[in-house]
Amino acid sequence: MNQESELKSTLALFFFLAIMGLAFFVLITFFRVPHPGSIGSAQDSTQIATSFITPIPEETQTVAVITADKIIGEATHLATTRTPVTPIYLPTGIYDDQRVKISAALLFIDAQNAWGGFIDGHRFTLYAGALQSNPDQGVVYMVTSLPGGKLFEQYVTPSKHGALRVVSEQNNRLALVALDDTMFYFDIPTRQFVDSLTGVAPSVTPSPVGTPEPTSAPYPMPTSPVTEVP
Amino acid sequence: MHQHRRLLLSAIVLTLTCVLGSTLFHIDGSGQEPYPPPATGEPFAPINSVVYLPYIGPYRKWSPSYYIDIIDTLYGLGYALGYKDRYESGTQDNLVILDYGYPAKQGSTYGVYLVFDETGTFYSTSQVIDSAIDFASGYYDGTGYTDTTSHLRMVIGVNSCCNENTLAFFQGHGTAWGQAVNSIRLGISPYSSQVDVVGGSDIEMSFNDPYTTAQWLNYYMAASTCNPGSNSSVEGCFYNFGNLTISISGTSCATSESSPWRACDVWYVSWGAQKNGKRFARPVPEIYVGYNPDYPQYPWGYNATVWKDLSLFSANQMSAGKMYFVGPLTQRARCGEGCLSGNNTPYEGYVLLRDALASNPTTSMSLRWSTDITIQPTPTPTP
Repeated sequence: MNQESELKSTLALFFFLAIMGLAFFVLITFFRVPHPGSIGSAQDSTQIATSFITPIPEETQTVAVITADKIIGEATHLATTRTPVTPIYLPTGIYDDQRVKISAALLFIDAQNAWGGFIDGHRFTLYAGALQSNPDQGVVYMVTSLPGGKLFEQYVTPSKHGALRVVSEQNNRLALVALDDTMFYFDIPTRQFVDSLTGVAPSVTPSPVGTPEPTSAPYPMPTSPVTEVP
Repeated sequence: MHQHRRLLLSAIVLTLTCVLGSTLFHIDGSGQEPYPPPATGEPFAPINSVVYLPYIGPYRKWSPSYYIDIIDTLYGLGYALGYKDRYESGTQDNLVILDYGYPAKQGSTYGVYLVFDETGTFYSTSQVIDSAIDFASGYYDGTGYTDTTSHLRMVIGVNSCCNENTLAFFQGHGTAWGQAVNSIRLGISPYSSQVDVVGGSDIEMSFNDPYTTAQWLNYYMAASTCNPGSNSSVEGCFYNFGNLTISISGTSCATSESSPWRACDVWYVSWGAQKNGKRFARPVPEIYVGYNPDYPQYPWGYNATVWKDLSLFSANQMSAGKMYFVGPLTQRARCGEGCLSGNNTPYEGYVLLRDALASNPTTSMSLRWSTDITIQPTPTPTP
């Protein structure tokens, strides 16, 4: 009698363990959080990516299927590589259209025009104009496209003569005329206003290009709160 | 003796349960990791190895919208939004406008110039399609297994600029944009349990003439495979997230490129356009400015008041019923405490539009969404 009872208990225990194991298998299979980089080999990833191109009908999606779908979806994204964006660049030069003014307004600049060009192989747009918050203060605002981000830099003129306009460029140096006809010269590599189109630029300000790092807080706030009416 | 053996076996089972359970919890990591885990190793790292901070706002019923200026990083942006939703209690419902900037064309290919890149780079609609699908898949993946019910509606938008382009250009671009949104809709079908998409445009009075603008929409509508839902809902196929800066009068819409903007034109691109007898467009109006005591004739601020008046105009002058507003668009994240064109918070914009519409039984309605637009944040490179 004791042996029979012991046998029953042992069998019950094995049965319980088997159920626990099955439960863990189900949990591990269906309830894993998608985790970037969790796929083990390129071969695995390719197979998953191939299987993913057949979407599961929405009406048959259970939570488990959706979960598996998400895991597969992330793996697919990680495994596949988008064809790198091949940009079509516009010509270097002065741009003086409505788009320039609209974009510059998003940076709190009233732009007169812009210069589009390259610096160290990176495309940039330099808006010339005045601060919205202070129309007397001339400004250039440079937006450089770097791998993975954009670099935003603002430089105001050393004296206030109204909005700037780009008139010419020579060897990465821009000639700008202010509203009152005062001339300014902006050296793009060193990011500073200089005395002429041809003089040697002081090397006090190292060029940020070369060690490109997108700014983390690139968007300046207006210097004084203003409200347009009505 | 046997009891001792059973107790020992039970202890082993319990220990195994605890160990495996804690392992499972570690895999889950719910509530433990504040940010999406960074990708590690090549070639499995995301194309854009970036980590976004969770978007935290003071008012839960709004979502971020973006002026896109980095077209190939949208998976991470979508993932961050999904990840935020995953760890917020309950089901989230987002309206996100992806504003791709200016309509453009190179050769025979239509596309866009992104903001801040309008002097530099042309991107085709194919590249727009890829990036929008990336955003959708990022959101879907970001919500994870614990959140299979939160929802994202994407608005794939451009603006209506600029009038130096020809009418034929805008007609062609409208067609191309309609086809692009069709392709995005197909491309996001694996995520359709949580993500859907409509087209959109930032239609502004100063960007273009009303006739050309309406033509763009008509060509968009003709190319679109989207069928609008009930007129008494926000289920349109096209969202106008532009402005309204004219007086509410004029029941005749523009008939040529020289026609000035009238109320009829704004009404048409926001509500009037029809497909299969149903309203194709819906407004997501800019509600940027608040109440100004110097202008008491606009008790809910200029923006909300004139949009309410346009809805009244729709019902009374155009016999088209009230307009169903998707929700207000604000720009607080971009403006902070300043901005020449207004800096309502999302909550302020929501309340102003809600109260303006509620002020008249004809226009009264509830608002499903609220969204706040800013410039796409620069990704933070992973270590």
